[in-house]
Amino acid sequence: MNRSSSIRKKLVVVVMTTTFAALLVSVGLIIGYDLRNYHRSLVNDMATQAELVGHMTSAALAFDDTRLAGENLALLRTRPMVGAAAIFDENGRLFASYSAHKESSAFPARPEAAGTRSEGTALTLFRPIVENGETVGTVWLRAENLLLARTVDYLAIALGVMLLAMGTAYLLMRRLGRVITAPIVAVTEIARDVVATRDYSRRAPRVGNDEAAELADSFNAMLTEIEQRTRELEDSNGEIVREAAERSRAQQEVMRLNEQLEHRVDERTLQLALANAELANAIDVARNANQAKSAFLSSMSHELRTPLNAILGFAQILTSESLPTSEPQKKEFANHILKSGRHLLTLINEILDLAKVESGTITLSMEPVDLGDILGECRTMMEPLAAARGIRMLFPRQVGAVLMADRTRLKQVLLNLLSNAIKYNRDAGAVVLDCAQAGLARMRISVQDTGMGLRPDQVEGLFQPFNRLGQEAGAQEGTGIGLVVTRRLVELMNGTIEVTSSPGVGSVFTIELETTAPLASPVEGEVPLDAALAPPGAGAPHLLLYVEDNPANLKLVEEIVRFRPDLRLMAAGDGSLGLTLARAHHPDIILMDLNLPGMSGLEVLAQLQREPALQAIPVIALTANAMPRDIERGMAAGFFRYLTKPIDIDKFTEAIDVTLGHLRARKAGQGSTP
Amino acid sequence: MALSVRAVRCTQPLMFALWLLAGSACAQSARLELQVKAAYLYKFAGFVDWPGTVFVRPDSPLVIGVAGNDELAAQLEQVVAGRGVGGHPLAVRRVHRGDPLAGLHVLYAAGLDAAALLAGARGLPLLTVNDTEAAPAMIRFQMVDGRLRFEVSLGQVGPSGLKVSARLLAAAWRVTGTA
Repeated sequence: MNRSSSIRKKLVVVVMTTTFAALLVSVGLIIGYDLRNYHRSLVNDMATQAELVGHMTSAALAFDDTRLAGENLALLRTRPMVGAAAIFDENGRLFASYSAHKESSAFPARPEAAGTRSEGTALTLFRPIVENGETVGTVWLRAENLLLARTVDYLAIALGVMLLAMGTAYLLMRRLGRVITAPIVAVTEIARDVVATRDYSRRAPRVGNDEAAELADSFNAMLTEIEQRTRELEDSNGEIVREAAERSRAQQEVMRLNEQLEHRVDERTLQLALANAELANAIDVARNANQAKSAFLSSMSHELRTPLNAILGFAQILTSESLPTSEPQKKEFANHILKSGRHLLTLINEILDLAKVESGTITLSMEPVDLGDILGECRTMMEPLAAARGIRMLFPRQVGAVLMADRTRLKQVLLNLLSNAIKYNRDAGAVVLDCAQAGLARMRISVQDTGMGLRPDQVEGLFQPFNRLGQEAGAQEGTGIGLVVTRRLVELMNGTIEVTSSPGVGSVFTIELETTAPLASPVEGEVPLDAALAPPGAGAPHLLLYVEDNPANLKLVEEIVRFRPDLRLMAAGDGSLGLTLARAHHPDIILMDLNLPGMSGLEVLAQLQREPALQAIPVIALTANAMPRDIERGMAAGFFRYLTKPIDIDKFTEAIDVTLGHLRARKAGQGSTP
Repeated sequence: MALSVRAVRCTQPLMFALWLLAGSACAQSARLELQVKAAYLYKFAGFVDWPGTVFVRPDSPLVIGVAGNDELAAQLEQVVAGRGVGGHPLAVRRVHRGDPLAGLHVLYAAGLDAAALLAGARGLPLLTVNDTEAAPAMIRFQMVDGRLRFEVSLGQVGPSGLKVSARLLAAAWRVTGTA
């Protein structure tokens, strides 16, 4: 309130000062002008009176008539302002006089120079009387100069006017000043309230459309801005507080984590020490393994050389001119060569198996396998070998279990164990195979022999490569790799293998595998097998087309086919010729090499299958691509059989017989169906 | 008092004043009377307007005729020397009986021929002045209380065509007759 009243007070002071100054100037000017006019008119009036009186009195002066002069002067009583008058003659003597008041007035003794003079409150005037160009006398007039009184009156009036005007102005100002101060006061009060309460949502009212309204607008805009800024500031403050809290929390977390970290570092240090120790052990193991591998390599080299020596040696004898051999000798040497070659092939196959097992590249197709079937096949295959040494083989009568295993590999494992049991048995001994349930979903298969048995230290080295347990010099041939591969295969099929042995009594190899639900489906291939077992029939020889670019392989197959009177061979050097011959002669069976110049064997097969006349012809692959992946791919492509090189004559013959049986069965089906 | 022309002119107001102060008691010398009369004659001309036709030219002389009083004429000649009224220089002429009155503007007639002259002047634009009532004139000198005053007869002025200033009438001792 003090400030606003001070503004109003200032406004009042300004207005009053302005009014006062304007009044002062205007009233002063008016008074000055009026007084000057008054003075001038007074002087003029007196001059006129003097002139008149002089003119009137000139005759009196001329004819020395003082009475007339006095009468003329007496006429001045109509002019009350003239207090006294006198006329002097041409010699300067007082000729006549007049006084408005009875009291005697002082008259000048002598006329003075013409003109007007102020003497105190009186104004005196001398004027010469001129008649006919001669100065005949002088008029003297004295008038009361009312200038001072008039001035005083005017000042009084001016004072009154000023008081009135100032009072009016003050009253107006008090009333009208509110128009100017009220908006400012409103803004000021709002500002004070805002400062006191920090409530930035208040707004000053807008009154009128002048600068004060603009001030209110600007003030409001400023308040809006401040409100916004304040809100942002509060927000950011809250954000900062929150961040600080989060930061302290994070710091505590960091400290906690630090403690944990120290703890963990301690643990890790311990673990590291342990790991170091393990590492040292592992290094020892690796060193041992390395040594074992070196030993393995030298052993393998030795093992590979041994059959080769026999092959090369006997072959030299057979080809030598200087060493004539009889026909029985030749046959015997050729048998030696054959045996050593087979041994070498077995050795290479086993080494490759071992390498695959070791490198982990072997792939197993786990499936339900009927154990009885497998055992039957193994027994069939092992019977001749056992019979040759008079060893009895005892198998369980009825086995209904179904194992979860790779059929081929399981067979390989069982054959290995059985062949070992036969190989390292004494003559007329026995091999006993037994099956027993071992816990839930486990089947234990044991193979017991009646051999020399093994000492515990021998058992230790049983699964080392090329460890033949002192049989190196023995009559029984072997690679020394079989058990190593066997153990790995069993382990890959989620199984275990154990050996128990007592010297002089015999050894028992036991494997344990997972079982699964019995398989209801009948064993496949029974019908073709029966058909295959049927003796080669008479009739027209079957036409066999062999697509092969290698002459040596072609020669071998020609030699084999020569022993089969029911077959006739036709050869093609590449795929396109093979297709041409096939279209021309419609062979019964096609033998297909896969790595052919130009079209590959698979492409030729695809082309054959596209042609309706040729698609029924069974095609047998005969290739060096012996990897399981290749075999799978070939079977998927539609080959009837997949034979790998080097050619096993028995397998070759069997494949041909099975295919012929298949053809016969198809022909019989076609013959009976229509 | 030995008076030169110049001296008379200069001292006239003084003399007049002395006479005034002295009043009738003072010695009434004929000479003083002459001087006053001469001054009055001259001064009368300043309070009278003549018809415009009287003056041939604006600077034609205003002629004052004096008859029957050579002393006065002489005195008057001294007074008017070098003076003028209304732009007209003043001149004095001695007039005798039988003289033509044409060319005169003021005529003072005294003595024996006065009546005849004044009678002849009647109707003319001529300001006539005399001392007695014997012959009617426009202005007549008269001694009042020992002072020389004059009387104006408007009856005489009327037919002449002259205009006499009111101020002269106011200064006159008496104004008689009406037109």
